[in-house]
Amino acid sequence: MKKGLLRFGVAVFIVLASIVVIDLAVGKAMDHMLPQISNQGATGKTYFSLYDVNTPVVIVGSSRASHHYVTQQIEDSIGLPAYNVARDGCFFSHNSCVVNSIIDRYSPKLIIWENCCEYLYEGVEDPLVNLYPYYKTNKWVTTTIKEELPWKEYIRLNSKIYQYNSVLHRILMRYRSRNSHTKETEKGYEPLTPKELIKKLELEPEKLTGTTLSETKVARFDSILTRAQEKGIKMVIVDSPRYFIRDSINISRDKMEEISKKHGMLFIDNTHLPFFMEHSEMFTDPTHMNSNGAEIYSELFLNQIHDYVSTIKN
Amino acid sequence: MTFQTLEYLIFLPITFILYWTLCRGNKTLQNGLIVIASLIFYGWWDWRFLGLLLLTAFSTFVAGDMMGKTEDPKKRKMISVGAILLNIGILFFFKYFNFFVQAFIDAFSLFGADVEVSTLNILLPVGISFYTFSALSYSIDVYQKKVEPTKDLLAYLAYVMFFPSILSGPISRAQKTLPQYFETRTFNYDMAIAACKAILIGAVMKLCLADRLAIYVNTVYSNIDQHNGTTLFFSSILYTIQIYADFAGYSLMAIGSGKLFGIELPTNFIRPYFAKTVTDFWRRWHISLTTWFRDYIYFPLGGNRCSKARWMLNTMIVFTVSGLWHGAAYTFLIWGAFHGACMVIERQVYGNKIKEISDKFSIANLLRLSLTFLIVNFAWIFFRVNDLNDVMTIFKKIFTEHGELFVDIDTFLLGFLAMAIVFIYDFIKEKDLNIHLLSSKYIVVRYITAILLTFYILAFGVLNGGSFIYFQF
Repeated sequence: MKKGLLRFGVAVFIVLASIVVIDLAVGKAMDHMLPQISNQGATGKTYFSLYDVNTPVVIVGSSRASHHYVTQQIEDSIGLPAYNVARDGCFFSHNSCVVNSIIDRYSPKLIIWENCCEYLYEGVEDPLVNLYPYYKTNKWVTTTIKEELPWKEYIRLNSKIYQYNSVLHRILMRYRSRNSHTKETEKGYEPLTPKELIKKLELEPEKLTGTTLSETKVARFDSILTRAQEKGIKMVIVDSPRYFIRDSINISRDKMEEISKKHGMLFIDNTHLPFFMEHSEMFTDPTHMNSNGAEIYSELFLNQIHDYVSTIKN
Repeated sequence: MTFQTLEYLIFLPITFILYWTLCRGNKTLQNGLIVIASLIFYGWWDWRFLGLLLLTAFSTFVAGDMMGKTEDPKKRKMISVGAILLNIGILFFFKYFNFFVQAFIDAFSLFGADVEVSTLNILLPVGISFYTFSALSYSIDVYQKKVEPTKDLLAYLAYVMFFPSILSGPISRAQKTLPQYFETRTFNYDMAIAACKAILIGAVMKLCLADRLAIYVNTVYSNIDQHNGTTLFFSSILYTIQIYADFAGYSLMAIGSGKLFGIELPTNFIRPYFAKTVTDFWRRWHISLTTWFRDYIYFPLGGNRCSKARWMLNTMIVFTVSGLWHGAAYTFLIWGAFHGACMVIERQVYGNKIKEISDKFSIANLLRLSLTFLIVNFAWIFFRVNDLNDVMTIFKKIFTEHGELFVDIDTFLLGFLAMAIVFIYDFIKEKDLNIHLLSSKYIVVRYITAILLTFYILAFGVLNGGSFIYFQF
């Protein structure tokens, strides 16, 4: 029996040791490939937002930002190069890391941060999975993951393969065609083509998912705005239109506004703009506007920030 | 703590090492460790329900002991019925109380009467349907004198509470599984390797296939109104595969974990989607539950040794109860009854020839296989939806609203890759081909396969996904 147990132990050890070796090798290969696909596809866009974007105007946020802010219109209006680094499924904590990493590298003239008014609540969905590849290399990512996720997750993140879980194939495919890469977005803006919906959208009340503020998130938001203020970066914190009737009592939004004002940043809650509440055809779903809606909204938004940004060209 | 969690990945090796070192060669210590480990494992989910688990285990043990002390059939029957009523009562209260209260209200409202009965906010203890059935099998078997009542409380507790099977089975049967706890287990290298293979394949099924498909299926089913019939039909097929990969994957991990401790748990799945009839499907799907119902409900009702009408009724009763066992909702009830009806119809169509359908490849068999898959797929829609309104919407859309398929490239790419792995694995087993890479005669091939599968789980598994579907039952 002792012999059998020892033999079993050796077999398990061989498999585990091989996995460790493969893990390191695959991790090294991925670490090498990732920078070379910067701004190619969704995975490359996150790398770009953390390490490569260098325009004076940057738009940060989730899918709502990537679909709602027409970069060209913003460039034309402000008169400075702009880039929309927003990505689907990336919310407050993700974008905190992006903004912090940008501030570390340079001082843009303006950061437009699309921030859902609910983001400062405890328990609001806030995935960090798209930042896993940077767990060991980006201090903001390391800190945020340790603050936000359970111990199990950052134990798992010691595996390089796990850091690249479910994106290995995407990186490989992008890397293979990296030399023939063509631009897929309009400076990061990803228009949603208007289409006829199977079921017409109806204005329905949307319940807030949170009730209490997250102290960690409030502190993080405050700290980012402090850093931006110190570096003379102007920021617009904005929540774009939704096709929902939302609760008017929202302490997360109030807190966001309070912190923004404290640091001299512009806060705009556009969730209930009457024009969009009357035009369901501008939406593809209750939270995303199509390209028609985005163009009208971008124009309206640029008028809203006109005075605030009038000085940044100097 | 469940099989796919990091906690289990730590818990299992620690328990394994203690079991084969400190408890080596001592049956009492081995059973003692299993009981302690099982209490930790179960209590990790919610320690408040440990009392319920212990109540079931102790009550059935005491009932067995009391039955062993008397030869009076009346007394034995009373004790057995008492144990059954107590445990089914607990199960009923936690699982079905609200359902029957609601059904009562619904029934009265049909006649225009408004009845006010309040439901309770009850949390369902995980695994209750499974461990209750394992424990009851002991009471009934002792009553039927198929099993000798045991005096070894520790062995019995280990049998009822064995952590690999406590949450979702396989449902152990006293006759076959209990005797293993009476013997001292000695380490067996081949059994341990087989255990690791089962866990590995189970993990691929659960993490790489079931949880990957779940991303697509959940997206569609949570927004039925916004999807067309094509997408809903496609999604129903993916759910059919998801539920198999989820539960069969779980069962393999449970069986593998059991083997690591020298305990053989019953087989739960034999490649059900290779079934050529619905009857055949039920010989392959959730076997430990099906055989439980067969032995303790179907046979006592008369089985098939009775008139045709009575046999039909027996079949319908068993399947309706099986539907209710899965969940306290009309959708499960219909799901069970639908399967029962299919079996009755099949019997009418095939007669006794149903047992003679060959395994050989033929167009007729391929058609039978496809038809069975479609029937099972149809029934799973009832299983997946929230209520009957959803069922109506889905069927209406499937037949009337065709259009472009909702595409999620990642799910398709990674899901179909995992599907191919699982299909090839099942196909090789089904056809009994001697080309299984994990069992290859070449040691290098075996190791490389194990390493690649582990790599595949790490790289493409959904490691922070949800729980197992059958936990809700």
